[in-house]
Amino acid sequence: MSKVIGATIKYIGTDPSEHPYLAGCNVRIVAVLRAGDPDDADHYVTDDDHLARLGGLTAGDRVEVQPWLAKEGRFSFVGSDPRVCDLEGFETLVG
Amino acid sequence: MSIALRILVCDDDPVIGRAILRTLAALGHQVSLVTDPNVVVDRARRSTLATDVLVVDVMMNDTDGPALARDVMRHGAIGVVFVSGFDPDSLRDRGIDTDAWPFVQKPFSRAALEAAVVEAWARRKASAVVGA
Repeated sequence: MSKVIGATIKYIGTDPSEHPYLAGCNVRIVAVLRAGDPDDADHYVTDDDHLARLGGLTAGDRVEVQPWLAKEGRFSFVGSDPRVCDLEGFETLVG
Repeated sequence: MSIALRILVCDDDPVIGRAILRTLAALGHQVSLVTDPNVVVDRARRSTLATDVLVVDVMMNDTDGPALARDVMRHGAIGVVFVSGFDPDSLRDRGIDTDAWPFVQKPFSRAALEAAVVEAWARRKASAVVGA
């Protein structure tokens, strides 16, 4: 399984009801919010080993991300929770 | 876990709020979620909060967690856990002091969240004894 937690990837979503303020931003994945009906203990996942035991990331999941603030040279403290399918090249992270 | 607490999660991001709710529910607590902090204050005012510990996001659109906690505690004692993507120093730089109650930084681990909830409940009980 590819490294998911800590991966940096570009947000390319265009759905205005999602996270338009992230358009074009590089974001760092800090957690996975699993889709479907997982056990409560397996809904919010913050490490890759746990995620791997659950079968890895799926295209239907959401992820908690922190956008990169280029001017400040750091990731934002403010998180967002976009869909995996709105991340550029997400296929490389799935499975 | 030895005690099942009544926990109210207040986060204006329903996705993250639900993640907190489910994490605490997996630990055996009785958890509910509200996304509007005004609902929390209204329940406290009407004495219908029925909550042991309030787990509250620090940075919300209309208020901040410590301000909400102060509003709630004017109507009765409660345990509080602050949750934020910011670290406490960055919050302090913004004029928000979270020192009064346990703090958990996002992304959170289940262990950290549970420890904070237990600590908040212990502080709540201790304050009740002191105030008795």
